Amino acid sequence: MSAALDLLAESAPLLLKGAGYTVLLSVIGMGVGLVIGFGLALMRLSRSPLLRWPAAVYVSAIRGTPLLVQLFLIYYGLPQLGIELPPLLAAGIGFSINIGAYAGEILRSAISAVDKGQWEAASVLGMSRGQALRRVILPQAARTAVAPLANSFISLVKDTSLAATIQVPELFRQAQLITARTYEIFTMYLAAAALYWILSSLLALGQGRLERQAETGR
Amino acid sequence: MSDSMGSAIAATGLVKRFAAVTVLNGVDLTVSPGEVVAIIGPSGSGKSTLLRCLAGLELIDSGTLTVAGVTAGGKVPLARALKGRVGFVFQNFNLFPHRTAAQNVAEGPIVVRGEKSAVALDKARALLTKVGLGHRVDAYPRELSGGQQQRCAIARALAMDPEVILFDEPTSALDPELVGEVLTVTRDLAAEKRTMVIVTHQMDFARDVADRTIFMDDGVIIEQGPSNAVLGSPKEERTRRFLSKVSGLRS
Repeated sequence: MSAALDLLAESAPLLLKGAGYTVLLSVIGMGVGLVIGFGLALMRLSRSPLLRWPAAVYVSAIRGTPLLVQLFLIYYGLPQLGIELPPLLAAGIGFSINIGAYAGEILRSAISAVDKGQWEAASVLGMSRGQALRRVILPQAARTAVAPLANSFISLVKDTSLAATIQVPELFRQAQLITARTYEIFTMYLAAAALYWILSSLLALGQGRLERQAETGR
Repeated sequence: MSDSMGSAIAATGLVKRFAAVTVLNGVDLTVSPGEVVAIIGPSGSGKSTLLRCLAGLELIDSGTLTVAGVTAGGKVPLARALKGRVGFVFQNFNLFPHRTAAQNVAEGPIVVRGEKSAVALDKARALLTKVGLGHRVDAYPRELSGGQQQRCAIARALAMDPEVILFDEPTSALDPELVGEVLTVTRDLAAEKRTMVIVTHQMDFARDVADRTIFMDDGVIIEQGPSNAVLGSPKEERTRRFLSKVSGLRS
């Protein structure tokens, strides 16, 4: 027992450093993914098929292929085309592209869910589509989108463990490295699992708070 | 062109189709400044669609339309070109749920006219007081009764200093005991000589406030004239049948 505790104490700094990368990747993925998703949502709601189509294909392709394959394509595949990316950058790009597709669908459906009468009320006041979107539609859509976006974020935190396969020294990768050295497989993976759980729980707490705020509407 | 210059609304031969259904089938309508016009008719007669065309909420398929000096069919969509010069009061209010009563009323002037928000909010509070909501300026729409929401929506339309206000069955979504307060506010506006077109099922109200009443059926105007004449001694058989049905329901 005490041997296990010693091992944990000894590997804590490495695991925490790994957890740092996990958080970093998650935040980058969600941040950039939201920007991509917002662009995709606007494209898919546009009147022009030239904007709608590429966005629809993007969403379909990204949602229809495994995240692991996407990461491999970027990290191991692109060098064959002369594009070599360091692991962290490759993972950041991969997660952003992936989350972008999901966030795009969430935002699109949240915008579509706003009552048509809201567009009309804005329109008879003389607002342009852009003004109506910014002032009237998006604040209401944001409320609808909070819960599903938070769910995506929590999934992302766990999915960042896939970055271990492309050499990013995140939490799961650190646990793998330590097990390779010590053979304390159960203890190390349990410790990694505990850290993922803590991170997800913190996010879930934040989600609850955000949702209550959205409900009271201030 | 010269006679449409003086009118608040000048429409000729308006046609509106939804897919295969022709909802408006050649409507001519002229409304003079200061005039209050009521439109009555069975549901599906096209009266709400006519009103929505006048506000630019629907595109017309043919005909000519000039509202508050703006002619439909230009490069800029009618609703946007009007910039709030035509107010519209919806059956189900369509207030902005994320804004207070005062913010709802100030939204148009701030966003469309570029007014300073402090100035616009002051004006909004004054308008809300005018419609009897001076004590509810900071309430959110969901905290207001239906009648209060509709009065707030009327104040929102007034905030743009509209040349014409269009009412689309403004009391149809209200509980019976809340209808009166909205009618009172509307009546006050009529007394100010505002130009208004009101689609309504309240025949007494039409007789009371409207200078002219129009009866529509099947996408055309069947009969129009002074409210007392159309509602009291209609010339057309279809108008008579409609009115007797409506009064039969009430008694």
